[in-house]
Amino acid sequence: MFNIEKHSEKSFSFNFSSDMWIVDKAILVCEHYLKKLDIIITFEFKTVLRELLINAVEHGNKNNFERSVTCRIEHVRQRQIKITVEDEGNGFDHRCLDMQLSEDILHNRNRGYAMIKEFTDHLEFNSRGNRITAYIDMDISCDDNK
Amino acid sequence: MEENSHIRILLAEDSRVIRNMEVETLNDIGYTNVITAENGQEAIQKITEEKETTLIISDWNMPDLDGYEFLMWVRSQEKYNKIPFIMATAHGERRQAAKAVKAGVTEFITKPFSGSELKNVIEKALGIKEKAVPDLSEKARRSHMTCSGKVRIAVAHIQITDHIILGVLKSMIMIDSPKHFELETLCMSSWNPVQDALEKGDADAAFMLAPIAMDLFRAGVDIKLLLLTHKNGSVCIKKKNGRSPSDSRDFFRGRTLYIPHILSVHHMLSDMFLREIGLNPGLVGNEDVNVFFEVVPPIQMPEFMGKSPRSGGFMVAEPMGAISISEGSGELLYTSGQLWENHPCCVLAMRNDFLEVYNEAVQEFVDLLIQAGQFVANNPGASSRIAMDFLDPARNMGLNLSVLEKILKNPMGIKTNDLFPVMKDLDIMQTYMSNEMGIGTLIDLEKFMDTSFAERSLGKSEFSGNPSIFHGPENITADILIRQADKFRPKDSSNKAEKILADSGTSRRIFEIMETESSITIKSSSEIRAIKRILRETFEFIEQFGIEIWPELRKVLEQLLINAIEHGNKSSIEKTIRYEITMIQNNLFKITVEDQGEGFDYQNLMLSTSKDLQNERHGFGIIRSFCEHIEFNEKGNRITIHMKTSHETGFDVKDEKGWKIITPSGSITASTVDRLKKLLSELAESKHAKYHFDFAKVEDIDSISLTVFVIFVKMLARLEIDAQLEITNSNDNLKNLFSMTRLDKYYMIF
Repeated sequence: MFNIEKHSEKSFSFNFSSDMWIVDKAILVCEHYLKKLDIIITFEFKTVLRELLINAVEHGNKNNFERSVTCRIEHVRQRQIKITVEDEGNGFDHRCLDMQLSEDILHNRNRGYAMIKEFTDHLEFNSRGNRITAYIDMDISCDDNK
Repeated sequence: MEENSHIRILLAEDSRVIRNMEVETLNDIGYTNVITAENGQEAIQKITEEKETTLIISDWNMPDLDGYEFLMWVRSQEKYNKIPFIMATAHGERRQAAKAVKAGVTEFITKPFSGSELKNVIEKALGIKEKAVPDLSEKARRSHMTCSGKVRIAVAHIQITDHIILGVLKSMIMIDSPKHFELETLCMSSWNPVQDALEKGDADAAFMLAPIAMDLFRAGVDIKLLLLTHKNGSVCIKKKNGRSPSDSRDFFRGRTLYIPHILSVHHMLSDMFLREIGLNPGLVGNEDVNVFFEVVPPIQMPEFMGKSPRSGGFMVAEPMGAISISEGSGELLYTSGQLWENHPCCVLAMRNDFLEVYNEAVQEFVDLLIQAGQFVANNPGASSRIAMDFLDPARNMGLNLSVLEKILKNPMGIKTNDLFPVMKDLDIMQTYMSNEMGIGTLIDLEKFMDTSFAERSLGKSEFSGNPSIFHGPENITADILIRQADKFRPKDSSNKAEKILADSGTSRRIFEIMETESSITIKSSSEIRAIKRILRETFEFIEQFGIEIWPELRKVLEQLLINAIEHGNKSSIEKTIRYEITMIQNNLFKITVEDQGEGFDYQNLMLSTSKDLQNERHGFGIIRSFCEHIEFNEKGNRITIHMKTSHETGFDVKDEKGWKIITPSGSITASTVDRLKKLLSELAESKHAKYHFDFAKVEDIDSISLTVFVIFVKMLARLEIDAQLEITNSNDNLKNLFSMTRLDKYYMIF
């Protein structure tokens, strides 16, 4: 299942069954939509979006295709995009989340979160821990035709 | 046979075929004085009208008044409340039994049951027998050691090809006997005795349906899941009946579908399929249910289907489907693998008290089972000969060699060389059954599964197990529709650019093709059978550009064409559809389908949720998932989509001066990384030390794929390989990512 909904000129959302296959598809669709808003997506944006969706599918919904992932993308300010991803899992205590990678990569687990943190300006969680909001600065991309 | 005609038994069962069979069984075991009722209401009537009733046997699921309500009534009547009451239930579940006990049931028996099981239960209910099987359970306290000093492993199973690796192992052992154990196989008639044997310790291990094993674990029986015994291997068979409607929904409405157990993947997949075609499946007696599940022993399914006019078919492990097809009584609706590719089904469950003590023997047993699985996959011919003797020693199942061999060779059929249990797959199963069907509560799979034996055997850990692929029921419904229509397809010529006009009853069939260098256009009458032909023409057209047909294309085309024919033109043969496919770039196609219907409110459809889409135009979800761009004309009778050729990443491997050069053909993400995983694990196992990855075509990589590169390092270290790892030609973004995630500590990046 993959549904997309346009809310306004500056925002749209989509939801899909928890399946890794659809993550790639979702990113292509976003690329297409943002292009219509004259925003060329960057590698950083793509990486953050991908990791957020992967986390929601894998850790939030535990790959259960009966549960869906909802994602909303808003062009909030001139150069900032807000991504909100919500899953149907039980959530987790985000205060315990360690986003630092240790020096020895063989012991690292949360590579995804480290990547998210690296490329976002600001991250927010709801209290249950099943919704995460990321703000990404797009200023490099608007001029740069990647 | 001792006759007990003084014992008057009231038997309440709604299914006529099952009722007759149960009366026969009762007669066989000496109980000839039997009166019957079709439901609880009639049972009450009979019990009050008739003379003395000695014993009641009642089904649980019945219309009007079910067995549980009937039991409550009996126990509330002073006149009858002492009558022993045996509840026959399709629920293998423990909590159902507890509910029945609380209401005052005397004994209970799980359907389907054998004569000896029934005899035992009746004797217990009548107080003739104190203990169930005293001599047998004494025997169960047997010694596990044989006189040769080996451990005896007793394994229970039933007569299905899903258990073939046990038969193959048995014959392997005859040639070369294992060091640590002797094998005793216990062939049983149905799942109940298998479950019983494992619970009581008459068997140390069992080949059983995964949900049954989970239910035993849930009920506190200390068992562990060690290995899958196969993947795929089941079929859904539709009863053949010339006059029945070809539409599956119309056909199944009001009919019964047989399944081997309530706790089975067959129940789950049938539930999904029947819901997808717009029906509401369930057990008899539940409100709003319009297609009924009935539990029947697998080997009796073809016979039951033939006897019962209300039967629609069955879903079960082979060879039952193949037997009914070869006898001409049933036709294939779908294979389980079409719906859920590489799904788990039966598992090897073992008593924990056994496996803790006889670790070495269990390891050897698991090793040899895995070898047996490989053997079956590589030698289907030899395996089918072994299976004949193992599954049907008395030759009363109607099995024959060619049928068995066909089953084992079917590419969508049983798989025995990939037995590592994947937790995610078992979780999918328990989650669907619990959440959607209300069967069972979730168990802690970490505690239930012990994959250490399989890991030691396969020498893997993080790489272990290939997860299943869930195709979903919507993909097979289109396929079935086309297959059905195709059967009635008259012979016609298929020359290109030739106008074919044929008579079909009163109207003319049209199929015209126009071809240019970069496009084909087809005009066709609104017939489902035209779809296959349009697909064939399209595939030929695409293949001439050297492009391989990708599976999503077929799904999307089928949905577009079905929508135009069924919804747009309402299958009216006078109306035509116009179809056009154009290659607009070397990997991009434009497809237009136009019907002559009145159009529809596509604006609404574009915004609707998947739930709204379920009944009407449910294929739209698929179209939307796989296409780049979708557009309608204003009226809503023409749809145009853009579709890219599959861009799934492949991994090319070359040898160069002692180096393995691995070149991915595109980005590496979670949906494509499984192939890389498999490749790397094979390379590591063959002890290669020098790896060079050429990332020239890789644009993106995600955390899951990065993890695979890290695990690869760990794996090489564990195998004590002094490895050299290089990644070249990666773009700056990726280089940045490698340094950020510190992958550059182990891989030379340049």
